[in-house]
Amino acid sequence: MRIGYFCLYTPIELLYALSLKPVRLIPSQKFDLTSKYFRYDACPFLKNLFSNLANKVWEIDGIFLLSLCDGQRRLGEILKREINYLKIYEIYFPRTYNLTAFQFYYEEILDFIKLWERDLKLINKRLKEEIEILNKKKRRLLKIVDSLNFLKKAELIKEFWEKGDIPETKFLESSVSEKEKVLFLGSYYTPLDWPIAKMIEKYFTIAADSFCTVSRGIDFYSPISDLKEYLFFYFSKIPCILRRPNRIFYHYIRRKITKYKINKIILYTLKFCDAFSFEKESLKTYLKRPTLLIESDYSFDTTLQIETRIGALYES
Amino acid sequence: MEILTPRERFNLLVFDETPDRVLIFPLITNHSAYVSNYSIKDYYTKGEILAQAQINAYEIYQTDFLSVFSEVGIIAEALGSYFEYPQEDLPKLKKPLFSNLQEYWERKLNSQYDEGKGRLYLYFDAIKILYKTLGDILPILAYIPAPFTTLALLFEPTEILKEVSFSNLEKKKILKEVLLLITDFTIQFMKSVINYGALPIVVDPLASGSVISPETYKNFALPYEERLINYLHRYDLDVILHICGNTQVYLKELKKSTADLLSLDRINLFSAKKFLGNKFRLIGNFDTTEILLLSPEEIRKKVKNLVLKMKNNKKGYILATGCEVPFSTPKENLITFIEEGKR
Amino acid sequence: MRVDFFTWNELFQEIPERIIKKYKYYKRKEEWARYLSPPQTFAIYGMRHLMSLKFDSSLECLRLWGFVFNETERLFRAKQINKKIIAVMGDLGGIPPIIYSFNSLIGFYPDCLWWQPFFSENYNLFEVTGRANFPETSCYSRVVYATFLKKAYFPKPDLIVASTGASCDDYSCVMQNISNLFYKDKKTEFIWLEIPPRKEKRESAIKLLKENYRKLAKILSEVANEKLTIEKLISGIKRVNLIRRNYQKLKDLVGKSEIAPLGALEMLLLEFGNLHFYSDIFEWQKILLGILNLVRKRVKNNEGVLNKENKKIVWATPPADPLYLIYFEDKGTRIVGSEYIINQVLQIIPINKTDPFTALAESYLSASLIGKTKERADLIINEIKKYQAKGVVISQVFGASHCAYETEILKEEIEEKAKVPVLIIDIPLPASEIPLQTQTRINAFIENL
Repeated sequence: MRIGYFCLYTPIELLYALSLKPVRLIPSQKFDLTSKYFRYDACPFLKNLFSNLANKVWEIDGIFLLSLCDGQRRLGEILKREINYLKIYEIYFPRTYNLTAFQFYYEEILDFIKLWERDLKLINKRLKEEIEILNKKKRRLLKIVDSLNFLKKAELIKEFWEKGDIPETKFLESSVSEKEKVLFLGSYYTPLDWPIAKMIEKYFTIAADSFCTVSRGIDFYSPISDLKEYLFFYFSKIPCILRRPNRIFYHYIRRKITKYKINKIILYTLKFCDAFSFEKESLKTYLKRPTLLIESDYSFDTTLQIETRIGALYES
Repeated sequence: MEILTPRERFNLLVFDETPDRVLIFPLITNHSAYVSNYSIKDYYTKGEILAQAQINAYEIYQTDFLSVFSEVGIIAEALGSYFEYPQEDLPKLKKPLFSNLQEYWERKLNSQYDEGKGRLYLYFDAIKILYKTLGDILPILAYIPAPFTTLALLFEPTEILKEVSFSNLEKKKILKEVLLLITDFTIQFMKSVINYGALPIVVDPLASGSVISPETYKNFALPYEERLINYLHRYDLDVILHICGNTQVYLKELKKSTADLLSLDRINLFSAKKFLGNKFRLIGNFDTTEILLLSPEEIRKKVKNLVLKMKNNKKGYILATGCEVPFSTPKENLITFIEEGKR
Repeated sequence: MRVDFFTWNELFQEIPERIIKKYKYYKRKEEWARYLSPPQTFAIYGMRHLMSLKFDSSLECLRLWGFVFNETERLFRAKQINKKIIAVMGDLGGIPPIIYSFNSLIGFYPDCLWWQPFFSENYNLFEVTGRANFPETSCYSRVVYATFLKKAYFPKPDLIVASTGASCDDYSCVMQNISNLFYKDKKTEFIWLEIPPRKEKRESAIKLLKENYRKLAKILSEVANEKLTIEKLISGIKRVNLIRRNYQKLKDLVGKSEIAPLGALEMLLLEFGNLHFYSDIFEWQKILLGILNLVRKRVKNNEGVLNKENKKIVWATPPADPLYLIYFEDKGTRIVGSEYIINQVLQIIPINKTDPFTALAESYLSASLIGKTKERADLIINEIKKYQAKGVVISQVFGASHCAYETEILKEEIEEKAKVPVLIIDIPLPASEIPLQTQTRINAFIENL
């Protein structure tokens, strides 16, 4: 069974261990029409994701939904109303770091596992194998993409998540740039956002990013462990700006800023995505770097305006 | 940029909390007409002009209060005294309603309240505009002449001052009767002012120690101020009592007032603080002659000293001028006063 | 009788001094503890919108209004008399029963300050959040951040409890920013609690909530310097249950009576009183009881505040601007039922069936926003059936995360199952009037009921 997912907290290794084929949903197409159940200020990513699912862009039988944002938490109900072919699995992933909340999540996962397999010992065995395999792949991928420019990096990582394997990488040139370095971070990054990245790369080098569909997805490696420890790793170590408190995320990006000697920050958020748009001031205060906020809803009507603003950051 | 609005700041003060800084209240009344290039006559007779002048002054000075005030005769005029309005000077009492007590005794006083009487409309029109424009961030203070001050303008002022000091019991009884009627009328006026959204402040300039004795204050001013204050306290409003001139002479009597904030003029405010500071939030008392005549640097030094000594007043303190800012006070003087106060 | 702002000033003149001075909060005798004031008082101190509203002319409701609007001062006074202030955010009602089991703690929801700009017709709180670079396309609850910055709406809390999880995103982001303000503050602890979703299998959620409450009770004990025994907690919960029962009785009386004995605005204030009792549970109990008795009397005498012919509707999601409730009533409706996203505080905590922490957890699981939208729709449909409503109004706020995903589902469910029309209205930023276009839509909706 092919299961679609998009959130970074999805326990991919576990899905493999359950003989499921996880497919990361990173939309490349934009559809104008979406579900009537989304109001105009609903997340553009979720609206477009829905449209892609409705148009069967991916060959999947089911979708694994977590709950890191309210939109994601409510998406399942909308999908059930509109899309018949998908089986929907909704797991609650905690926002806080409370241990009791983790226990709640753990029990949700146990219930999910029971749909496929009752033998926990077998699952643990398979899980360890899958963790090892995926870790190896991620490390290999990291080596390949680390020296590439952001756009190429993002393309390859996307392919990796979609296919579950390292993509063809012949004739890849390392990227060497003298341009000023920026940290590029924000909402769920997809090929639809490439025009923004291209605009940025005219002026800057995107030396580091924190997108869960780009670097953050391959920066962390689960320990080879039993189910509970493995899930706890996801719960406690992988940063996301939506966690509460979100200090761990800030520490993560600070490490990137230090490692890559970043001078400026470009925060890219989808319109109506509260997660990042509320954080602009905190980012500026905590990271002490000039920060540009760019908002988009995939329409790019204001491309010129955005480019002007990037230019202004360049000159500042 | 300040984080608190003047309203929020004032609220903290009256909740017995310490705001981010001392509130600033130079009594900008007809001076606002000066900075707006309006004639004084227009200021005192047209509510929309008074309001616009206050708005203009606020834009220049960024103080913590708006003032709606004509002159102290507004109630006396509504009751029947006749004032004239020079183009560029304060309204003057041309003919009081009564020449003497005898005349009152014969004619009596029609103290039936009506919002349309005299120039009361001035307050209502001005408050309506100010409340709509700036009432979300600024308290609007409506100056209400206290009964004793009104009494002095219903009659020849010198005549009344003689009567309160020297007349017999019978005459004093009549005076108190008149004061009660004035008080009732004034209360109705305050009720209207309240309806429009302004906070009434009680002003009693003719009850100043420069003008009357402590005994007179005790018998003819204080009890009627108290009636107004009690009325306002029914609404749980924080009552400011402003008395111009020298109040040093009857500090003991003043301590009996149930006002919440005392705005004082010619008095040693530091010693008043010791005597009154546990009970009242004190307001004052930068000398109005000095604000007119001193240089900005001198003003700055004096304000600094005043705030330093007064800001720790137990019940709180508002930096203010002792009385109305003189009409033609240089802008830079007031700007300096306010800037230094905000530091 | 329903009166306007100016009429209340006239009525207030008749109230004797001894009555005005009678009602005091925190069982205090000082002058500052009185709260019976007419709308004029609060209008003078900045609540401009009161001039546009209409009020019940009873003394009991005057007490309600005075008490509600006095809350800011009351919180400062609480701190001055050495009570400890607990700011609770996000869970809307689950935690205060524990807080009010302590003698020296006062709990309140800064969340309720989202109404402040509307009652004062003032944008300043929005401007302050704008300066902090908060997105304009987010829920009005963002003003709560500004209230923390200003320190003028409540004293510095001794403890802040923020609950997030199966709840609104925008408010979660607001709380995160507020927590940043206290990051280096060693004197004010800021704790995060998880709100679990409501699913078919309830045990895990109950366990999580129970643990939250136990952990919180321990922290509160330290803050209060007071031991919380089970007996004290049970007693506290019983007090809360009494309030909830009385409110439910009131709601039923108001919803089922032939003529509306109380207006929608007063009912909104009363329903929200269940959240944190406006920071004085004992006085709130008395106020609620007073109004309950008033309404009983009115129902018995067939007296009401609206026309008998006014059409019955249910209102979903509290309107940010209370003027809308007045407008609907003036145009010929009466709000008989409500789903104000706080269903959790309308439930009786089942203290007789289980231990107090489990009871609290179980009652919280009925929360409006933690389950599926369909379940919330069912709550609204129940209101429609119970009170025989002819239509539903859903008020929305641009940027509120739950509105963006649930409103259409709610509409569909209600129209399909209850067969009544649904009007969806967006409440814009504070204004003294309702936009003309909205008025037209409202009028058309009412005409078609």
